[in-house]
Amino acid sequence: MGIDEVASQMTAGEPGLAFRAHVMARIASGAAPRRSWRASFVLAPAAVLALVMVAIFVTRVIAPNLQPPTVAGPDTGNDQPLAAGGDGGNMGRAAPPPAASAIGQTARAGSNGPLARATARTAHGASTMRNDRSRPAPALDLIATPLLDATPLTTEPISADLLRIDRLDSIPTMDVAPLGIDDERRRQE
Amino acid sequence: MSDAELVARARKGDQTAFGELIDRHRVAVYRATLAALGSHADAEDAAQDAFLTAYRRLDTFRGEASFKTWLLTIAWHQAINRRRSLSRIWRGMVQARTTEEAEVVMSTVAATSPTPEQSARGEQLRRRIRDAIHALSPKLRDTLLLAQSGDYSYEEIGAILKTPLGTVKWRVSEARRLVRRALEAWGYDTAI
Repeated sequence: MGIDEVASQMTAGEPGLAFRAHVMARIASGAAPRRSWRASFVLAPAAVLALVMVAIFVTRVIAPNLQPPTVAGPDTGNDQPLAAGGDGGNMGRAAPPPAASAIGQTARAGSNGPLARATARTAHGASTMRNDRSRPAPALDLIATPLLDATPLTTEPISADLLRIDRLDSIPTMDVAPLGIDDERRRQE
Repeated sequence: MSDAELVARARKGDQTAFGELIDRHRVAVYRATLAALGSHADAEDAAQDAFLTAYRRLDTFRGEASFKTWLLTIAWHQAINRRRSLSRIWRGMVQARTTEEAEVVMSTVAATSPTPEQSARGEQLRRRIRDAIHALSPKLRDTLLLAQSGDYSYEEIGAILKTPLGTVKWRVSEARRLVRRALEAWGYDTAI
């Protein structure tokens, strides 16, 4: 038993008796050759594409609708999302207004302590929040109110003449003399 | 009637002529696909697909090579595409099934052996040779199996594999050498 004989046996055999009939039947029926490679070469990229589309759908449509819980702002009346920073001290507190945060950041610009870093994070969060709130969520586009079409307000510059104040007339001085004892008695009588 | 005449008639819609071409070349096509796939069921499917594809592409056959070579090239592509599409698990199943088929062949041969001891030795040797051939790289294994099937000349193998004739001969020689070396490692006499 040699190598050639075993190799020959590995390819020995003939197709079935109905081989010709099967091929002719497939030709007559107009069947296309089976393309089993589709399973790996076409379906796999299609599956990856489908996953990418699902990921985009989740991040663009579903995720923006999952807003964090809100609390009413004390002064402005606007709802502000709860701060969600990793710092435990900020948990549950409404983010300060951007202007106040900016002031706090400016006031502590010289220090590098944890308070300064927390203030900087808060200012950054407020800025991000402001950017997110400026763009409505895609799902809300259908119910969004149309933008107002109004001409912008213009103001005339104020001239210096309108701000001028006329000088008041001078009041003459009045001389007052102290009352004497005799005058007091006379008034009591 | 020659293949070229049958092809000409088949191009005009004579399906009987194409049926005659199927009968002439079905064994050669089948053995080529079997060499690539190692499974009789897959080989038959790939061979059918090859004839179907050839029928649809008859207009593209220019007669530069023989119809058999052209057909074998199509069949080889069909088989290689099918082999690539098989997953690792499915390939393992094919290997297992091929091994089972080999066991049946070996049992049959062993039953005709003169003595149980000789049959056992022969069976073990066949298994070792099969394992060594399976362990070859696909290029060496495909070339060796095509060459040893007895249905193709080296020129035809070169056309099927799109490989120069010298490379085909080297691959066959190299495949034999590697199988012999594997057998030596297992303690067999290489003068087989």
